[in-house]
Amino acid sequence: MSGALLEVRDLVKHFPLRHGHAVRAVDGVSLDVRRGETLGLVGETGSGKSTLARCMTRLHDVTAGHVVFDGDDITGLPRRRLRPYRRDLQMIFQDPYGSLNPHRRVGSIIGDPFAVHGVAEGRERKRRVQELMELVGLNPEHYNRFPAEFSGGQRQRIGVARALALRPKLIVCDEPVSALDVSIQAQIVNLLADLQRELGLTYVFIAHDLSVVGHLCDRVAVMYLGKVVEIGPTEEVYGRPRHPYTEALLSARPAPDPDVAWQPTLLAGDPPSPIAPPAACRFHPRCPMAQPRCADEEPLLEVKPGDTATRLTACHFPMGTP
Amino acid sequence: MSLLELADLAVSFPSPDGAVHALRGVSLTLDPGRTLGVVGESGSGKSTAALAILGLNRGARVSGRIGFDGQDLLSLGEDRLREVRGSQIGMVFQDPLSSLHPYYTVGRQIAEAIRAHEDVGAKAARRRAADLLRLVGIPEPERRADDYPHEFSGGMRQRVMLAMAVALRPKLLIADEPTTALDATVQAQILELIMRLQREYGMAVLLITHDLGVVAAVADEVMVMYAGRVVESADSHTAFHRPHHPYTLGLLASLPGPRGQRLRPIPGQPPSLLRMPDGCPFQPRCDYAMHQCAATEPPLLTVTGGPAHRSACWLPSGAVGRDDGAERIRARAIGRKAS
Repeated sequence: MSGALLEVRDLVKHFPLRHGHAVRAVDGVSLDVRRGETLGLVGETGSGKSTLARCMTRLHDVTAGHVVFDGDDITGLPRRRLRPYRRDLQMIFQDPYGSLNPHRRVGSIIGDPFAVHGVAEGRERKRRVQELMELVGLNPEHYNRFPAEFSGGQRQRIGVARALALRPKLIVCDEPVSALDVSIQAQIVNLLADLQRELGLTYVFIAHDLSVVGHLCDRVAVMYLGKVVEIGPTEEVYGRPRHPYTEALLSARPAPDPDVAWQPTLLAGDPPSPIAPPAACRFHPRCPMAQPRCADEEPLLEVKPGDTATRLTACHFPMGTP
Repeated sequence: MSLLELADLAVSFPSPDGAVHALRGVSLTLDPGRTLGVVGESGSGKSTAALAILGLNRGARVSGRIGFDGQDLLSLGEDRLREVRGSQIGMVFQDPLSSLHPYYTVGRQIAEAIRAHEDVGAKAARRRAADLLRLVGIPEPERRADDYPHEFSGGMRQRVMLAMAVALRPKLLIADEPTTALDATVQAQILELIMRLQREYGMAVLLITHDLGVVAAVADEVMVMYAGRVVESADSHTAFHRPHHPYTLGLLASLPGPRGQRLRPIPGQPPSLLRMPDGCPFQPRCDYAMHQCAATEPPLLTVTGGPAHRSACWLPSGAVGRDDGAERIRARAIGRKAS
């Protein structure tokens, strides 16, 4: 068995608009998610990270390319044949308010996956739901309560419990702590780390908060306008960014310490629209180091001299080149 | 003399379940040209405080004193208050789209804001609007002045808001989560812009945020709020390195650190403003709670972390800092063996 639980190959996802235009949300992404790891996906609005996540879990059909899960190509599977894979591939969403039906009791929300997959019924289902509630730190006696009776952090625990119900192999977490206050965010981050250790889970973790990603992820992929511009072990990417966009992103975030001087690399302008991304290197119009070649030739995502095979960068003039 | 001076400010809202005490006994001072960062989580009262200063708390019961530039804003009539609000206090909020009128061009909105307070002609006001757009870094300002708010990106809209906020050279800028909705690289641009405008205009800035990184980057002084009260206030270095209040300590310990190092979240969640616990509102979540904490709410008193360092906690005044020594003092105070 290979080390990759999920393989994404040359994945493209376009959302068609009128007059032949399209939002090129994901525009040729290849990456592996290894068994047992946490892979972080970072990038700003329009980078395509959430679309990529939805393609990985097949919530979106893909325009081109392949998604291979556990050795099986699930790219073109119709809904019915996708069902067995849905058990293994779960998602947790950002909004703990919008993703839970307010009219249904929490026990029945968490038990949904059992109902859908016809796994456990009656008392057995209730027993397993209460086990899940316990596992994620909810009081099992609150089985009959409604979502409105829970705080934001507790609701996110409900979302986690529901995702865990069918013992998935992979959970894609799309901004799971972004809507939470700092003190509550830390509770959920610890919960996710504990569950991974106990249940041997693999995570794809999407966040715009780089410090949460730095804390939780083994590897990180940085996206810009539908492409991965850099991928590698978190410590290496954070400690020595090679793509100028990664560097700008990391330096933009002020450290929570007033004694550390904050010197962000300020980028010119806003990210361009994914409807008409710039030619060649998509970052070149905003890049502080751009040279003529960057506007002519698209850089490949590849190992740069001096880097290990686990580190890929899509830049003609990577930073920190010896 | 301080530019802004809140004394014992209280704000409550009537509700079917009883009064919601959003702000209780808040006092602060802000000097000209300085930046005060107000941090706290949802429901801590930080935005309520900003709105109270602006007189924008509809239906609220407000008491105490809001001293601004020598006058008490709470005693001013609506007309006079509107004058102060527009010209001497500028404001920016998290969502610029809801603060800009969708039917008017941004140039017209800025020009009208100027003409509401100054006797200038339409043409001159429009020229000043374009100058302001240039000042806040909007490319081709003469042309963009004729665009509508929806034609700008989130970051550019926040620049427009800042242009409007500083149009009349206010003495105070109130910025309530000004970068929360923005991407990281755009947030950096806007924070830099706020700091530049502050330097150029000599404004005081009241920056409200939940983001401790943002506070660390821009604030001179820090005020930490919890459940409608100020629980700690100090200069920025002291607040981050020699905090006294366990809530401040807890917030800092909750921040994600190096990979694999377990976070230390604050257990539980903030109390409901309708059902406040007895004594200290933080006591049910506090690692260091003692008998007296559940009995009496601690006042905001001077502690020893730095100059003008105050904390609302019954721990000894010398129990400041995040190191082992401070931890031993706290452990001894609550009669626990230090681990």
